[in-house]
Amino acid sequence: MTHRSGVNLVVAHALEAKPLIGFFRLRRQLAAKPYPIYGGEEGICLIVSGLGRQAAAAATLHLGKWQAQQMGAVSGWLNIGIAGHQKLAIGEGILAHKIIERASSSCFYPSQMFSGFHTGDVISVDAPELNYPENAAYEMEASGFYASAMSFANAELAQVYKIISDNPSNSVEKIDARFVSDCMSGQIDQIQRLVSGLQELAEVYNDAYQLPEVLMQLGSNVKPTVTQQFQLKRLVQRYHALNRSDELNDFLNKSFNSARQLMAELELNLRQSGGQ
Amino acid sequence: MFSAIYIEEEVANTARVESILQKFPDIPQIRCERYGEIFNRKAQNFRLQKRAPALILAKKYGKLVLPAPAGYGFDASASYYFSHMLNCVYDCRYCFLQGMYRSANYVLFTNYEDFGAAIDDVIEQSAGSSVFYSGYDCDSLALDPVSNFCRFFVPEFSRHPQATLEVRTKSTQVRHLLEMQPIPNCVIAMSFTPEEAAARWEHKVPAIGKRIEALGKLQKAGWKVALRFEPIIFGSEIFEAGAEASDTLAAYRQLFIDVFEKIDPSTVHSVSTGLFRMPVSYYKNIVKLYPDEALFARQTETRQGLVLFSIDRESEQLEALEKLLFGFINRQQYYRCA
Repeated sequence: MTHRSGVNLVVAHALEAKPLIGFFRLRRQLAAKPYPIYGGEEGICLIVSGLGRQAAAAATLHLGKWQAQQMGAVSGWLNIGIAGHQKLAIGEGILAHKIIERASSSCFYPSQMFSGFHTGDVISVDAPELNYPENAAYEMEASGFYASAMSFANAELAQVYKIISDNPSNSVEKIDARFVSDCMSGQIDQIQRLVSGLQELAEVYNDAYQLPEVLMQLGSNVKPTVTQQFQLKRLVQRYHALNRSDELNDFLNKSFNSARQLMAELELNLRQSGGQ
Repeated sequence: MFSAIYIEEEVANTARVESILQKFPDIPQIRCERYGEIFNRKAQNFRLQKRAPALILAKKYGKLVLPAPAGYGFDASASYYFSHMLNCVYDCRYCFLQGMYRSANYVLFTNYEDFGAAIDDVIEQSAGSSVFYSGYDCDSLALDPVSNFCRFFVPEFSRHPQATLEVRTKSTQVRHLLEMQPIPNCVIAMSFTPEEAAARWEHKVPAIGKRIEALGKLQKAGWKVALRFEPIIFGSEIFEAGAEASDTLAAYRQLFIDVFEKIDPSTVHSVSTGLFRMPVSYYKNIVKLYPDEALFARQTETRQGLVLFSIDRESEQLEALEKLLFGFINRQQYYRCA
């Protein structure tokens, strides 16, 4: 299934990124600086943020702003990375249902839109947690990522998925490049499922809310004020909702003295032949 | 049924909450401080959330019983409403809840005893009879197998014969009611729109036939039942191309035939109709949420802070509909919602 809506993957380290870049066939986007950004044909984009919540927040903001210049559609956002856990086994995946930033005690609750995943608390810490005091995934980026992602998407379209790399039986010291790659690769099916789910949701969102192209064309000759832009948008939406978009083409071929005149005629046409 | 269950710390260890959680061991159970952290936050989309709504178990503070909006009910007595739940498991496109709340998640306030005490206080302070509406901010029966609403609130009103409880619903979840002894001061009011309107706008709602069947069982068991033909939406878009406004009346005629074939009109407590109407601010929110919905692309007008659809010969059409209805019921049973 192909989607035109995208998903942005935010990962802390190049080692975590590598298996994802390979699987989703992503290529480095040369124009993007200062962060390494990778893109693919399926609308998937990946940024390597660096370690820590501040780095994740900054990279997410950077990607969101960079993307806003490239495209108007809303994308899904997914933070992926390794984490420690008190109870879960190495290699298991956990979808965050609550993100707690230890430094500030702030909490975030990503909407639970996807079934079939193990879910749990994710605690974002500022230094590696070696004692795992709570039944939660310990990592360093989720809260920063999520707070920034909320600037570009809503709670349904931003998710955090962590793969367990260490626990009380397997210390953090055992983690090396190969191990990280194996952890990420072992969860690639679940990651792909999440990415597809987010793409589908973003698609639903964009289908509902993306502005019709004809709106720009109609407005281009009559220079509407800000208020008139909103009114014109709503009129165009009403034509679309009533399945009467074709009639807008007639208005493209006419000339109007002002935005007010254009809107009055659009409104009159709706009233005259709408039957409602 | 739910994508997750959020639990306020304050109610987490109560018997009612533990009993609910035991029914859903495989659904993520997430602790929170206050329900508003999830329900009232910014940056959430009601429309997307409706695809996978969560249940939030919480404690209600503040005024638990409120005066009913003017013109809401069937009685001139003092009228109140209480909301043990916010939001509805159904997804009716015309519903004002979509414009009222930011979240599509369901909040269930589990401190029923506090609601009971507040109801007791209001009844004691009321000189004469009073009416209490449940189902204003939710559908009270739709989640009854989980909430046990009826098992708590019906006995509450059995202790207060001078007060009436109206439970407004579109649900067929009547098992708990059928297991109980009917009380004379509890009315189960079922809402209907014609088949064509239900198919187009009432998503996830039980079929009309099933609703009639459930209401019929309640009536036979001795419960007082009422009929709410709301919201009335005149118009042709729900029918085949070329239909006339009179087709709305034909659709209502069929609905009345179907309903009164199974429901004995002589013992129906009350019957009401009401045009689609909605506070302006809610309507604006809904238009933003569903810019692509034909229903909200209609011509509208505003009367006393409420948005209504503009209808040709509105009074005439309403009267024609009422005339149809009076072919089945007495005028004394009827009221038109303001």
